[in-house]
Parts: sequence; structure tokens; C-alpha cells
Amino acid sequence: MRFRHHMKILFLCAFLLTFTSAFSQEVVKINMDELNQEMISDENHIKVFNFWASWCGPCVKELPYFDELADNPNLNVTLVSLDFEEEIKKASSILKKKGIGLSSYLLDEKDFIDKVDSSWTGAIPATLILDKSGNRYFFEKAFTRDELHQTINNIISK
Amino acid sequence: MRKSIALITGLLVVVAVLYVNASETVADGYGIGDTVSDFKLKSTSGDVVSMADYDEAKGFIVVFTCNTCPYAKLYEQRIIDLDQKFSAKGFPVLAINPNDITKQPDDSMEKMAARAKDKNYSFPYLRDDSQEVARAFGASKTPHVYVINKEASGKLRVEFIGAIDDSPRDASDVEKTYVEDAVNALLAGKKPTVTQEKAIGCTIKWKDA
Repeated sequence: MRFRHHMKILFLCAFLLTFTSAFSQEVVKINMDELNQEMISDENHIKVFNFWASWCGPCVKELPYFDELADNPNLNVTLVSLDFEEEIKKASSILKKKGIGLSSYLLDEKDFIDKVDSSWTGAIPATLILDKSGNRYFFEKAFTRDELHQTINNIISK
Repeated sequence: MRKSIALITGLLVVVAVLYVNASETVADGYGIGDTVSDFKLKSTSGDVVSMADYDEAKGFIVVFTCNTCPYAKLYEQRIIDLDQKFSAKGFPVLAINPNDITKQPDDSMEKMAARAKDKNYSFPYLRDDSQEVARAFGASKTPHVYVINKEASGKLRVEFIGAIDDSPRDASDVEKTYVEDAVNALLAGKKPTVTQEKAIGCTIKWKDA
């Protein structure tokens, strides 16, 4: 009886662990060459890349707005954390705390700023949008929810 | 009649061109080779500081920085070191905090004074309350550095813009010392070979329009 009880708890723990790890937001390291491969326009989706970091207040504030965008099947939203590699856990705990469903990449290398956009001075938050015909829109600013939706709608209606 | 229409159209074009140019200047700020207008900003010690106060200076290391940005904090000691290394050689650091204090209360003059005292800043730590200096320079983030050379004519010219070095996280991992190299070149009477380098930083907290 006692043994069965223990087994039950064990199964429960195993179940919870699987459950939480399946739903916890992953932050995965990426290098600029790999990211460049993703920053190619796609005729079926508008691609949105949001550059953020766990230490950046305005970035964390706008994460939920980008998470909401991901519900739109026309959009492909990618988060890119610029945290240092050793802070990967901090980045993932921010996603968890804010209830962000999207996973995020983590890019930690030198000299990548111009490769994302030559007009970027390096301030974050920053967002790159690629429309279906390959036009690039770069924003070195924080968005409000309304501004972001407006911006996306403007690009969709072009 | 025709003449006056032509004249009005011409005037409108001129006004439009002037307007576009004016707004571009404001948005872009200084580029490499541009001359800098002096500023007057209040420091944490209560003094009002201008570049014109520095008769002996050969140039300046102007750093837009703040109390609150993690990247600015990572660079704080290196900013102090730059001043200690180059102030006596004629290139003092002038640190300017442009953040709106309603958005970032820890960047108030009081908090700045506490920080400067705590860390023993050897350079003036100035508040750009109106944000006009940051806009004139075209600073977008903290830290954001401008190395300025004072020419024989007294003209102040931008010779480097951007990052202090190539390793924000760890001063011991620095391979390229951009600001040091630029200042050393100017001290040797040469132009810096690298004039712009980008690094990640915190967006300046602008006042709401």
C-alpha cells in the first residue's frame, strides 16, 4: 500500500516534470550565420524579428505584444535575446514570468549589428519586419500594443 | 499670373526641401567630420559645464551614459579609466545623462550625484534635462561615445562615434579598444582609422512628445 502510494507520487512528479518542460519557454543559442538564414523573406508569411534582453525594461514590456502577433497565421514571429550566454536562464525565466508562449533565440557574438540592419545604432528594443515580397522594415524603438498592430496592418495592406 | 504660380510653386519646393533637410539633421545628429556646437549643462557638483571651459583640452571624450542601463554599468569603470588615462593628455571625459527622469527616476540629478560620489568620478557627470544635447549629437543609447577633436582654429570636430571597445561583458576579454585607439591617433596628429563601431545599449528614455 505504502509502495503504491510512493509510486503514485513518483508518477505524478514525472508527469508534472514532462508537462512543465514541454510548456516552458525555451531559449536556444543561435549564431549570426544561422539567424541570417532565417532572415530571408517568405512568400507565405510576414516575418517579424524582435531583439530583446532580460535586462532591458522596454523590451520586456513589449514582449507580450509580439507574443499576441504570433496568433496571426500570416505572421512568423521570432524573438532574439541579446543576453549574454551565461544569462540564458534569466532570459527564459522572464519569458515564463511574462507568460510568453513563444520560444526565443539567444545571440551572443561580436559585430552582428550591421548584419541585421545597417541603420541600427545598437539600441534595443529593435524590430525587423520582412514582408512577403522581401521589403525590410527596421524599427529601433519600443512599440505600444496599438503601434505594433498599426505597423503590421500597414505592412499587410501594402 | 503664370509667373506668380511658378514663383509660388518654386517657393513651396524650396520650403519643402529646407523642411526635409532640417528634420533630417535633427533625426540624424552628428556624423564623422561634423563640427559640434558647444553646450551648457549642469553637473552633479552644481557647476555649469561647457567644452569652452577647457582651454587646455585637445579634445573630448563625450559619453552619453546613465545610472540605470546594465550596459552603462558594465562600462562605468572603463569610462573612469578613460578619463584617468586621457584627461591629463588633453582628452577629458564629459559624461552626459539624457534619460527622462519620469521614465527612469534613478537617473535624477540626486541619484547621479550619489553615483558620481560613490564611484569617485574624476570627470563631470552632466544632466541633459531638455535632451537637446543628446538630440543634437544624435545619441540613441547608453553608453554612446563621441570622440571630439579640437582643431587649431578652435573648431570641435567629431572623429569617432560608437562603442568604447568590443567586449561589453568583460573588460578582460577586450580585443579592440576603439575609443582609446581613436584618441591615441588624434594625440599623434592622425585621423583615427576606425571611426564608427556599434554596440548594443539601452535606448535613451526620451520624454513623451
